[in-house]
Amino acid sequence: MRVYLRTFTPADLEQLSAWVDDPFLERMVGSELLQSYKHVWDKSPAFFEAMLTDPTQVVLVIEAYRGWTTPVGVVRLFNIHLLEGYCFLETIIADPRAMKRGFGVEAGKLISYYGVDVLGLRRIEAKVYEYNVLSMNSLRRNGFRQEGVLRQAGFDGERYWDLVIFGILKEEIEAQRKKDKVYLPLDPPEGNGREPS
Amino acid sequence: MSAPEAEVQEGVAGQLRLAGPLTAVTAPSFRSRVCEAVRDGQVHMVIDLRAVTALDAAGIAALLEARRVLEAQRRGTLVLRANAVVCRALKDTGTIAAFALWTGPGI
Repeated sequence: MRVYLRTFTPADLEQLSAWVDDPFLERMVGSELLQSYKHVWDKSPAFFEAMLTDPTQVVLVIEAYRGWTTPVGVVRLFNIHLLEGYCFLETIIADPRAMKRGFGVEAGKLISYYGVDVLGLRRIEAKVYEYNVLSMNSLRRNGFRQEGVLRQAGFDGERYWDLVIFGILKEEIEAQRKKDKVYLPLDPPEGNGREPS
Repeated sequence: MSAPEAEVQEGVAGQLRLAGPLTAVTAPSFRSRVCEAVRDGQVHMVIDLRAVTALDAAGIAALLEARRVLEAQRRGTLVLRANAVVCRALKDTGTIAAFALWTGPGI
C-alpha cells in the first residue's frame, strides 16, 4: 500500500479550505462535502464537529507514504444505510501531483474494506460524471461494475452531463481483497534480501 | 470527545452501561463484551446508553450487531436505554425502529 487513511483533525480544515476553492475539483467531483463546507458552513470551524458526529458518513483523510508531507485527498462513505447495508463512495485526490499514481484506487479499496468489516455493508455505489474517465478507471480497477447511466443528471454550470453509476457487492469486494498481496513479518524477503539457505 | 474510550460498566446481570463516545475507536471492545455476555448464557440484555456522548456509524453498526447476536439466541432480546444524542443518531440513520427503546424509569 502506498497510502493510508486517518481520521480528520481540525488542522485539516485549512487544507479543505483550499480544496473547496479549486474549480478543477468542483468540476470533476462535484462533492457535496466540499460544497457544504464552502456554501452551507461558510468554512466555519464548526463544520469539523458536524462532520465527525454525522453517523451517516465516514470521512477519512488520505495520506501517502514516501515523501508526501501533506494529505493528498479525502475519501468518504456517505448516505450510509446500515439497516439495508449500502452506502455511497466518494474519493477525492486533491493534490494534482498525486493524481494518476493509483492513490485513489488504494484509498477506495481501504475504505471499502472498512465498510464491509466494520459497518457490515454489503453494497457500495459511486456516481461519476461521464467526462471523469480517471475516476471510472479507478472504480473499475477496484472491481466496481457499471450499473447504469443517469441521463443528463449533472450540471457543470454550462451544460448537462450524464452521471455513470457504479456498484460493487460484498462478495466482489472480498474477491478483490484476495488479490491483495499481504506482507507479513514472517514472509520471505522479496528479492532484495538474501534467500534462506 | 470527552473520553478516550467508552467505559463499559458492570450493571446487574444482562445489563451493560456505556459512558463516553461509542465510536470506531470504542466499538470493538463493546462488541467483544456483548459476545462474552452471550457466551456466558445471557439472552436478554439491557444496554444503558444514557451516558454516551457520541455515536457514529461504527457505533450504530456495533449496536445492530449486538441485536443480531442476541436475537439469534432462543428468546433473545435487546433493549436500549437511550439519551438525546443516541436517539438523534439512530433517527438520522433510520435505525431507530430496529431497536426496542426503554425511556421510562429504571428497569
